[in-house]
Amino acid sequence: MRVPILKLGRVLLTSLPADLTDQQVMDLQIDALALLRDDRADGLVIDITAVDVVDSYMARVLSETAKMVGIMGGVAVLAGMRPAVALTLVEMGQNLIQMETAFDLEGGVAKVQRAMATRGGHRDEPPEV
Amino acid sequence: MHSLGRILSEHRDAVIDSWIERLRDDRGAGVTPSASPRVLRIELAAFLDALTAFFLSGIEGTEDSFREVASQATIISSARARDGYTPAQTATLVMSLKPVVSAVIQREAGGLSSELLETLAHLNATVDRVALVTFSAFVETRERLIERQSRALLDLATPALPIWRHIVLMPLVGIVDTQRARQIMEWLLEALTREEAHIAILDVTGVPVIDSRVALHLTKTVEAARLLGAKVIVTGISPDAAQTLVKLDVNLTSMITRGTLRAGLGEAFRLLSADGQAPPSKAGF
Repeated sequence: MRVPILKLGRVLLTSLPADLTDQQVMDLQIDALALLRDDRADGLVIDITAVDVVDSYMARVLSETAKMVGIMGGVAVLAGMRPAVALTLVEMGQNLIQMETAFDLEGGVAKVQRAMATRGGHRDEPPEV
Repeated sequence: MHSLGRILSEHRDAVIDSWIERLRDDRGAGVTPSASPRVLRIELAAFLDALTAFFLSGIEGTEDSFREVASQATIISSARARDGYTPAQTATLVMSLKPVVSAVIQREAGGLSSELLETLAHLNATVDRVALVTFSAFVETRERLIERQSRALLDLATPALPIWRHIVLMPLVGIVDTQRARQIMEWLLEALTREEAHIAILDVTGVPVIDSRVALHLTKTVEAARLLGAKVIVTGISPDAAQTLVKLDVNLTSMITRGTLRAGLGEAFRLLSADGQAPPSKAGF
């Protein structure tokens, strides 16, 4: 089963399930990048509220996804990490997660929108001349 | 061999009286003028009764009856450990039973005999055994006391205070070691989640020594908070600490640092309004 990706305005939303497999993380990366390529979104918010364990593989794939999204002109934000997960990740090593973070989904969406506003990226209306 | 149990039960009150008298005379013993005479008498009587039952239970005494003696001794010495008596005072309390009971036995026996010596040896061995129990109970109680106090100190020193909407302040006081750093990190993350905070201010004015190890802990805390989507501002780093950190070549660029708590709060407000949150004049109340 692929993790579903929802679209809200020009932001992609996805919530990772607790029992996420390595394959699902890879599929998520592919799906998200495909949606960005079709110019249907500016950014991606990955919510991990349900996730109890983030291993080094998942941390790397998530960080890489964020970098890929960045190269394609978008912003990826990781939202809703639990304190216990953060503690474990920090103990495992510095900077395992190299991407923007937010407290919850709402904060993540706000972060993407703000980032896109400063970047002046996609606009629904053409700029006034 | 004389029956110690019989002698003790016959002379119970006399033994307790002379025991208390001896403890009062001996300034090194576990009795202070403030100790209530009635409480002391009850304690000693309970102990002596258990000891009498032990001697009555057979020549060597049964394990069950000794356990009762040990538990009485534990009660007495635990109470003394809590009240701040010294180990010597507590040991003296039990040991002073020896001369008191010896005197009674010698009076009973009338003269020196091998039987008397045997009885005294038995008494000595038993009281020594009880003294050991007393001492280990004393130490155990003290250790528990110390453990509880250090935990209380830990709790006391690291509160996480929501000082504004989305801002949590954590003033650190005292030495930051590995165990405490972990605790600080856990509490801070918990507070960030609870208060839905975007910014944490860690004030280290009260931390006497900031070396590379403490800096590493701080860096980890900052990183963990970042994973939750929060920013950490470290305030109150002293000139001494700044000198040490630069000389040790510790990289602190990952964290926002400000000289004073006041400056840190200013920075927090600036970050909040940059994040599109309501400015301080409108938020918080």
